[in-house]
Amino acid sequence: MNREEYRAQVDAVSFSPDFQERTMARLMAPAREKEQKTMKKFNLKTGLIAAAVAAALTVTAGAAVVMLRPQDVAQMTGNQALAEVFESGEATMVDETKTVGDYRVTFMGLTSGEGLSRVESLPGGVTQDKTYAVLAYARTDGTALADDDNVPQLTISPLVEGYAPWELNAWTLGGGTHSFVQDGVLYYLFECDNVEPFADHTAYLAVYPGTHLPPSGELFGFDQETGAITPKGEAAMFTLPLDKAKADPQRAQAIMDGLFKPQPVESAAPAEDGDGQSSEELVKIFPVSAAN
Amino acid sequence: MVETYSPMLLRAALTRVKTPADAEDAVQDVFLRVLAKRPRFRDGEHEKAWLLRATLNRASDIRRGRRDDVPLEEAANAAAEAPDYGPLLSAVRSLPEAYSAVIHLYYYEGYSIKEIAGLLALPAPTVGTRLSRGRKRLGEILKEEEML
Repeated sequence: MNREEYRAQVDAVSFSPDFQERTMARLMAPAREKEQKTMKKFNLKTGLIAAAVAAALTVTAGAAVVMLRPQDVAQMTGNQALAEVFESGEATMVDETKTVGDYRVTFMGLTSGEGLSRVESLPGGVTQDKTYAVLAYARTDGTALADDDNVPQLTISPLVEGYAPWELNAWTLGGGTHSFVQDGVLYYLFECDNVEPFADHTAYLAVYPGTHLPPSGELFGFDQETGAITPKGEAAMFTLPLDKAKADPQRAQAIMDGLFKPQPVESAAPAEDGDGQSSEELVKIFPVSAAN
Repeated sequence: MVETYSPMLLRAALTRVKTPADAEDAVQDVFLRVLAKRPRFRDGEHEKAWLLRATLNRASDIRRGRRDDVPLEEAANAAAEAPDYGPLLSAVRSLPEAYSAVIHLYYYEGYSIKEIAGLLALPAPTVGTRLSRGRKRLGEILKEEEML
């Protein structure tokens, strides 16, 4: 049998060019019915459940569970502006999974910029120029995480080669997280001051064992000469897909110079805006001093 | 999931149903089932195998349904609407289901016997036997067509 000839004949068969769109529309119909019922119960935002179902059916489930999309995670944490950026395609979708301890951690997507925080009007005209990363945690044994489970004992922090982990990290960059559980997966929206000025260096999002544990010298090695950062124990080191064109060494230096100056209280991550966000969600916002 | 697996599933379904539209119905039905049942997959391979087997089973159901339920007049129209597939694809489609699936996965998708065994939940020797017999039947079919 001639394989190439067979392939050519199969490839010559015309399926509907809009098959995927029609399929998604057909799938969304029952999803929206479910949404309407669910909204009465939980008062979730319009489109949320349907979007989640769409995500479950459009994302490759290389992982053991179906997953939301970054835009769904942003929306569920109440950040519509950020959700729209992920939806627009301007953000960087990553979908990379690594294992840390008993968890499969998926780095789903990343974006940076101003005007995406839930609270923009800060005293003194302070703008919130931030980097946002969406992650998902699932148990490696396939068992579902539940709302009442203990939060995974993992810490998230950006690290940048050339800068000591204990100097440039989630704590010094004003990091914070929002999280919630859906369908057995714990989703994290991590945010910190914009790391794009450091884009001429290799930057990581490190996920490592420990709760609210700053990246000390016990946890990470730092080569003073090369600037390389090496985990001393188990850690997932996701390389941040930053645009090198956005590197700003002067601003990076200014950030480093200002890191250890007293921070105004207002620069802490904003509190819940109380917009009717579901009580079912485990939404948490951590101040500057706690990144996870 | 739709974006990733649709092309492969549509091709597999086509080995069992009459038209591309029927193949699309089969694949849509499988995605609807995923939505309704929300099965938990161990990993990507488990997911792919589940989808493939579900699609082949659904395609078989559709083919049987079309054959059993359609009035003769409509069946004649449907036959007239069936695309004119190439001789090799037509020959594969005319094979017994047990053979066509293995032949398709081996020759189009490029899976090994071991991989097909995993996808179809069959022992590898069974896959090897079906592949061998399928090839033989294909040769016979093509030879008969040449003589016509």
